[in-house]
Amino acid sequence: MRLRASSAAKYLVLGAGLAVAAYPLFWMVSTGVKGPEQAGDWWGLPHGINLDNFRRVWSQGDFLTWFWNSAWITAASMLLTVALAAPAAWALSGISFAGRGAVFMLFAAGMMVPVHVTLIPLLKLFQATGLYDTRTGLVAVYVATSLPVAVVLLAAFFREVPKELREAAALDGCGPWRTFRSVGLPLARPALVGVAMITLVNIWNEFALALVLLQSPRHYTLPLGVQNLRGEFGSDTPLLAAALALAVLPPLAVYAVAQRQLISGLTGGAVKG
Amino acid sequence: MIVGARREARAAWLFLAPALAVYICFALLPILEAAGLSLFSWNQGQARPAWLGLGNYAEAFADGIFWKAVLNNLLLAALSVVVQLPIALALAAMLAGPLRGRWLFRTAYFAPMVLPTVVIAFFWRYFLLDPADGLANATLRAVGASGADWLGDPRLAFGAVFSAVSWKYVGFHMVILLAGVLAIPKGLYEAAELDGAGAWGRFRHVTLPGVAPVLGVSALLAVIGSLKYFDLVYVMTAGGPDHATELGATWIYSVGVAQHRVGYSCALAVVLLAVSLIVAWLVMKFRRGAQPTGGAA
Repeated sequence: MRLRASSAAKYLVLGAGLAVAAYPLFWMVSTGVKGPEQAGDWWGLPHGINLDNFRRVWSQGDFLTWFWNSAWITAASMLLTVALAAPAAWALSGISFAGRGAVFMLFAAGMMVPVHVTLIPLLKLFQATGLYDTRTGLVAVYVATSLPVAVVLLAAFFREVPKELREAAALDGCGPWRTFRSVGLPLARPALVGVAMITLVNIWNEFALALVLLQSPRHYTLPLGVQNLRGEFGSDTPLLAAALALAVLPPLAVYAVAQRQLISGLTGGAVKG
Repeated sequence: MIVGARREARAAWLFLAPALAVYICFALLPILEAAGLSLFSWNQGQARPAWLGLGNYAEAFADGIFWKAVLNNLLLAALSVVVQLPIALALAAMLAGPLRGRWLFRTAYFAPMVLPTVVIAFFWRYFLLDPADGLANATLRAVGASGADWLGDPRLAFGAVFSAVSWKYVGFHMVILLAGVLAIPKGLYEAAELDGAGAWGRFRHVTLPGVAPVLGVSALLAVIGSLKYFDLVYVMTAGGPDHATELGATWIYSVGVAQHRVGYSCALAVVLLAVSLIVAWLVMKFRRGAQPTGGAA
């Protein structure tokens, strides 16, 4: 009997925590579907489902532009990060050469560098080279800042590839590149997908670099757009809620399909997948 | 064989070249440039940086707002450890026991980590804590209390911002600690039970010592993250009101971008980086092989 009471208390506490964790998301969706008849009633439940707010966010103003900017910048940065990190990680984990340890440390150390150290120098560099306020420039910085995590995670994966597989490929007359293509890449597919998902979520959510390196609203990424949402949609609460709900959709969708990889990646490997 | 090794080494560098090129240009050189620019004065309207030596550093050490910001960083770090970790540990201990739906709880608690920080900040600032019709004040008024200007009152702003930071990171720490608690051998709990230990005794003598190393990792991640925190605070308060929520990073942004004092902001960044590096060194020392990525506040 005591056991059952303590177990009920446990579910009560955990359930309350779950409600607190999920509430903002629930609020964004449930307020986003409120119709005009509920004006001013921001904290009650919706009386019906009215998708007008979502339609208006999607079709009015710059929201769609920001969404596509984010999609384009995130996709390009993610693909480039994986494409550059995979061969680099393969070299760092499977080929022995002078300077390997130093290069690995160079990448690993990059994970510790706070973004505010490079913000202002990057701004000056971008203003001097014409990269300022361009999406291309932001992609370059995103790839550079994503590489440390990607290289370290992929190198850890490649280290598990049995030496015999590499040696067999070499005996078959494969050069280093063919060995990488035919042994490394196929084995690494799940790891590559995991790293791609981590990069995707990090870049979709990134704020500080975009804030400093972009200027024109038509180049904004979604986080910058969200910051200026009230300039775009005024203080129309359901409209703002709908916009927030749409902004969190892509990372949440990724979380739904790649939860294990995201948790492992975002905790920096402190939690194994 | 030597020829083969040399060819291998050449291949390795070719494999590394594209990644290294991008990484050096857009991540490493800017750090060196920050160090270089910190020795110059380069303000608005000034075409070229002017040599200043250590002048910016002298100014930094006398900059009251900067040190207030650093103190806020340290306060954020301390509060994160003292407030977030016990909550996270309690949740983790409950989740580690026999339980239906552990997966669901874990998923929901961690979810705030994958949401854009700006969205969280926006929700907190304009909806939850809005002085006119935010949920916090609406609730307070419903029970007869009076509302407050959470982000506009210098006495309340830091706590208000910290509540948002905690909302985001408690689940993060909970997931890390849960992995640690689940790794404790079940036999230890059975032995403690045979010795007559109750639930609290088992927590005190088995869970706590068992999870201690992981707790250390969580604490260090919280400290590192707190020392470089920016997004949430910038969007919620931009460091205000009256610098009550100013952090090193928000002040560096104000000085460098809003006031156009490039050299000085770089000096501040170098000082803050030095603090971070000392902590990073501690991380390496406490837990060899751990590579915390983002950190957490």
